Amino acid sequence: MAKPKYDLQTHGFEEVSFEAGMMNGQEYTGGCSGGRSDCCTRTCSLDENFAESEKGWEDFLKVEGGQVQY
Amino acid sequence: MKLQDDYKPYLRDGVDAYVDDQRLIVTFVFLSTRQRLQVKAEQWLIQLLPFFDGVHSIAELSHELPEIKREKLHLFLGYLQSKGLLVDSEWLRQLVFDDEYTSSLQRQLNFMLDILGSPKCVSKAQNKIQCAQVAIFGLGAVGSALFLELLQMGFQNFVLVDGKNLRPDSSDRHTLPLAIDLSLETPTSKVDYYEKCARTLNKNVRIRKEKIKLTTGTELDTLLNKVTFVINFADEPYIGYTSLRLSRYCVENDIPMIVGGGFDAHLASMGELIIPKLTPCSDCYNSYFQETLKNWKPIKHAVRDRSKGIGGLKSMSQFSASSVALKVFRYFVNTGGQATENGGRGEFKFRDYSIDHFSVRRNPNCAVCCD
Amino acid sequence: MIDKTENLRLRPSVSIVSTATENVWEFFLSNTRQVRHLRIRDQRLIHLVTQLNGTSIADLVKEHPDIGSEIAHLFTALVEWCIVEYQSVSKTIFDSTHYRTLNFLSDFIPSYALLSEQRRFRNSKVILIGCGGVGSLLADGIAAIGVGELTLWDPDDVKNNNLNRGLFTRQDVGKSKVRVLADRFEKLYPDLKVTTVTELLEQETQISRHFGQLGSTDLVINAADYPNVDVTSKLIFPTCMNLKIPHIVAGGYNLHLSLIGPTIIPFETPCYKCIEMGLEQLQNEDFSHLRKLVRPKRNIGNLAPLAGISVSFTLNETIRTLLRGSFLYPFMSGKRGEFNYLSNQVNYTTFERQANCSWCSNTHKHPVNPS
Repeated sequence: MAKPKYDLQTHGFEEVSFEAGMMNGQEYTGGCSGGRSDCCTRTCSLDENFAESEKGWEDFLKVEGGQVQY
Repeated sequence: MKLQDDYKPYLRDGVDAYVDDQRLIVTFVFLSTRQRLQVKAEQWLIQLLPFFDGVHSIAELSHELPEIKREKLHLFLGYLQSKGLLVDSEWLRQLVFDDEYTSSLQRQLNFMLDILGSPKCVSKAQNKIQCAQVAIFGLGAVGSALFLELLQMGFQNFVLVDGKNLRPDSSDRHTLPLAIDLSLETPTSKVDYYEKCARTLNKNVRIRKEKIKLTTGTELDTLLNKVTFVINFADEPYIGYTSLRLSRYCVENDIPMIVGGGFDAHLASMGELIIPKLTPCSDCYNSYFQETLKNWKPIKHAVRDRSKGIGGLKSMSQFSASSVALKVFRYFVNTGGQATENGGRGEFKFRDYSIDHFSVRRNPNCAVCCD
Repeated sequence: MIDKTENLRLRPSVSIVSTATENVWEFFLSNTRQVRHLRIRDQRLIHLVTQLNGTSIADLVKEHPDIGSEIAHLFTALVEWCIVEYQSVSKTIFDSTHYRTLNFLSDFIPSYALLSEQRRFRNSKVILIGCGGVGSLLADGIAAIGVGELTLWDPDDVKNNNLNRGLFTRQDVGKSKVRVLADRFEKLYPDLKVTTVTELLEQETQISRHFGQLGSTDLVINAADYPNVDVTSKLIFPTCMNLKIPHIVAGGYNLHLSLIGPTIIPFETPCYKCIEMGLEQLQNEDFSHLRKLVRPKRNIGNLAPLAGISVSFTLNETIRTLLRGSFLYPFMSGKRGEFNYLSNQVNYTTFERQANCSWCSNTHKHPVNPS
């Protein structure tokens, strides 16, 4: 087997996996049973940069469980 | 009913025929469904098959045939017609649409004949298309490409909802599917521009233009008055918000809806069809994503303004648009009257050209779509 | 290769997510949905990544000399993996009307190479043969992504029954297809050089003559499907083989199946003849002993979104072929795909170079024998 280009011991980091977006990534979120396609829909809006400005919509839609995810 | 002598049988294009000359068996293959029909026939009948070309009438085909063979020919043709193999060569002219509409849609109507099997079904399905009133929210790269394809498929009645302008110097120009007025000296509203585009394809198109952005305060009863199908590409501030808003209204008012793709991280998403009380609604999707994404929380990004940092590609927008157009088309031509698709979403991936699908079930506790 | 004095920033379209496994982080490239998981031992390193917005590797190493080596390796890797970009390049992207395309391609092309790859693109010459339903849309897509020169070849005028797909309007009926497109592109894409050819393609010698006049070409795309794409490919592709010009089959359809590819890089991938030989070997054995009824006047139907799907795939292949090298390569090399309207799925068949191929095997390299 070819030696990986980066390893934890030498470089302090290593690549665990690389997926072209295929299902069931190895280090997927802990509780998720689905594949890659069903997640990561709200990348830009999910983080704190976004959420504060859209309170109006969140209040209007009143989804259970908090923030809208789509 | 016996076929008339002036009838010009036409073995329809969506059927392949393979002949076993030794056993005198013809295998007809329906190309769209891959169904096969095998028929054993007398040699002289098989030899007549190439003449079922819409040019030769029964009278011409029977010329010089003895009476008994003429009878057999009539029976054979009647049988083939009953199996959906033959159509009248003039079938297009017999449709209910005007000549201009029919001639521009000729290739599509042929396609539909292959899928549906009879001119009567084609007429019914295309009539539904012609009469539908479609609302499109968002005329960006994907929405505008989708609008073009709907026009080309014969949809004629639209409500276009988009509050933005096209800027002559912007990258918007690279998304224009129909660049019919390229001067664009001053900013032109998208809905005005696309109405103009539509009339270059069909002068009978009827468009209600709404130069607005969908907000929590938008009055939907007026906006969606008489609308029979909704397509949502409005991704500002967020596709999830606009889809939930619209989906709730559509479920309550029994209007089918599609949430289109092309938004961030879903550049070639194939869209999801929402049929009230049948498929999951947007709230069901929201519940599903809340569960699957509960541990997926991106770290706050170091770059604050990322608006021009997001990618897009014309081919991916095209894929999304065409996927949605196919969903719309299937809905209208489905012989059951409504699509039977399960909930879920497909994503085309540029890296390896695969399409990932995932399924979503209706949330049994959904406050919106479950009783 | 990587300039350690260049200021770097985390790409706006990349999200970083912690995973359930200690020290493993997920990097999600949202434009293309690629995912990379990295185990990073020192928490300070991941902190530096998430905060990266305008600092160079050199400066980071200076600030944190005790982990300097790890910083250098990690951030070099992150540039290579398209997670981090040069701030100077991001500014160039920001100012470009093609910013979305450049951001998309940045998921595959590291920052240090992006602008030189864009130049490759800008200097590319493409010949498109066939400007109908698929070709006209394709022409617009190729122009929009920013190639340098485009030759449009089609002998036909726009007809009524062309209006159900592609880019033509009622005002274009009766006009030369290539002239309509050329006039449009002159206004919409002023940097694009367009030439047109309106000869009816009947002989291979026409191809070699015109290609000789047009000079060096980077890509030929065959979207000419009359009478069928196989006939036209056999006229066009021998010259492409002789001149070593990469070529793509675009479009072609068989009712509910939209055909995709192949892409051929002469003497590198299976050629058209290799694939034809491969297809013959796969012929449905059920009908191999039967005579297929020949029907010269079939009018196979088509549908706007199926043309759109074909265009999408071909545009992707165009980009991958023009930029082929370290970062991208045609996916459809040695493959033919079918998008199935009925199942909404795409299937690929892979082919190998055939040792006895009369077009590209070692014994038949030049000139190509098209028999």
